[in-house]
Amino acid sequence: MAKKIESKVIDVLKRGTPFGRLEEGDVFNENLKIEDVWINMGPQHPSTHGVLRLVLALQGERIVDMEVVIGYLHRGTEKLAEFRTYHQFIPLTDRLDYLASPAMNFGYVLAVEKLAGIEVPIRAEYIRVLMAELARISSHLLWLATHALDIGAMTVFLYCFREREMILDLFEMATGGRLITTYYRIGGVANDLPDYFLDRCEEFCEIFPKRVEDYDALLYSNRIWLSRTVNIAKISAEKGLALGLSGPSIRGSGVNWDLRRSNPYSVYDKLDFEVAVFDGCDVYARYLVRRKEMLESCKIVKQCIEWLKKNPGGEVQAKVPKVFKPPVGEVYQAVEAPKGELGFYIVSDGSQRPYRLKIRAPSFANLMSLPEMCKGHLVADVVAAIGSIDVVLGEVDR
Amino acid sequence: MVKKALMVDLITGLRRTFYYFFTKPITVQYPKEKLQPFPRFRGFIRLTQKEDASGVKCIACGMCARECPSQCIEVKGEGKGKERYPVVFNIDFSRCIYCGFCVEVCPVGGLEFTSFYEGAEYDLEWLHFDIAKLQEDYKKWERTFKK
Repeated sequence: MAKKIESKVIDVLKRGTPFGRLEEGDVFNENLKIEDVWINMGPQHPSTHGVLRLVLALQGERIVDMEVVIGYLHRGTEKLAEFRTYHQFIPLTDRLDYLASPAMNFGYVLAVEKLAGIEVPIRAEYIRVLMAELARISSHLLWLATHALDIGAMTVFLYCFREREMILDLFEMATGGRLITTYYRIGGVANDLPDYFLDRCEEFCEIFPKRVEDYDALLYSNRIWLSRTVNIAKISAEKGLALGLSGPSIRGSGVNWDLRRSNPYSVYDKLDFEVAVFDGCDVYARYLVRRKEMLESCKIVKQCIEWLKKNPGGEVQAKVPKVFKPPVGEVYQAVEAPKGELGFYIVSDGSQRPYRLKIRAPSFANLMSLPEMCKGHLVADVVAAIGSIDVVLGEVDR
Repeated sequence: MVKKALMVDLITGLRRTFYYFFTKPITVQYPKEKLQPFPRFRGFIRLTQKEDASGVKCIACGMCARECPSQCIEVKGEGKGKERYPVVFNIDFSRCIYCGFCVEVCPVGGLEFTSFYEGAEYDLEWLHFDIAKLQEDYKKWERTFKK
């Protein structure tokens, strides 16, 4: 153990600490022993309130090791699925990543449809994509708001929530719920969009790119923002892939991996959009990825509105028997949720309820790369790192 | 260098905040003023009346109770066929998750959503709605604090 600490100390001293900086060729004093200081960060801390605890090993103010302690928001969703019918489980998926509930619904209903071989009406597919992309914008807006707030930019928070409110209004119009939408059904969506929805949605798409300029004015080249984000919490593409990093976080490390493009589901192959990839590997690159993704999502929403306006009317729900019993088998279906790859693995024994349901939650895998990101950084940068992987503990603990 | 000394990056941001300083606020001062929810809003649930106001539309088939993911509905009916009517109809709103499945599956449209959403109560018993309370006018429970 002592040897391990010492190697860590050398490692850290090379990077420069309050104790001084070791140069090439310096002889490290073997008798000097600086013990790690272990401190708790959380469960109450600025970036995830009350649900995530980090145990940091410190040398001075630099982090040498970190342990992520989860489980504060555990609700046993996977086990609950075994006691719910396939349909009854839909409202529970909303509560995984409660900031983008349509995207969570999307993954689950796609998996069940794949299992039962249900074909979804094309209109429903477009509505689903429209909703999922709105959810992505809303999720990224909340991420930008809270991430900036954690780092110290208060104003962005207020502006982001203004636009998020518009999206929540759109959700309320179409689905009846603002945060927990429960809009998707096995074989389609609950009901068709109301008449005025598409016009209001179009209005939003026109306003939104201008509002992104607002955020840019406050952050994009702001030197405080740059000094808090550039070269902070770096993670290379190889390390990130090895740790299962996905979504915007891995795209910030230069990996062009977006399930909407690389493994298209629903109608994404008919839509025209760019995958945002930046190779800064740091917090700032992840900010750039999400910023661009919001604009790209806005483009997708516009295309969906165009299609839906051209083809009014039609079925939005396939015929699914009231007592829904999928055939025996197992299935895995992944979608690109705002946080990364969201997968549902369902084992069916032919009854009304899933035999086993496993959720591959993006935030869970992303969170495991946090210790790797934070090593060698200051304690204050941990907050920036947590923000940059956009962790929602609802889906980590499930 | 000049740009850095003049703090151009910070001033662009401050200009934006200054601009919004003189625009109208977008916030709504709840509970003094309230926004009307959209028609599809999923608030508290109530039993719908028949057109001739001779009772509730519900036929006590129990579909809502079976479909409810949180199992907060209890229905008991009397009578047979078309004359069937509910004797007991309880919804426990402290457990309800407002998913809307009960309203969706009802074959006769016996349940509907209201725009009432202020369900934060000191008394848990208040949230246990029985058949009489499910038909009451929800407007009287709404909270307003007029200036």
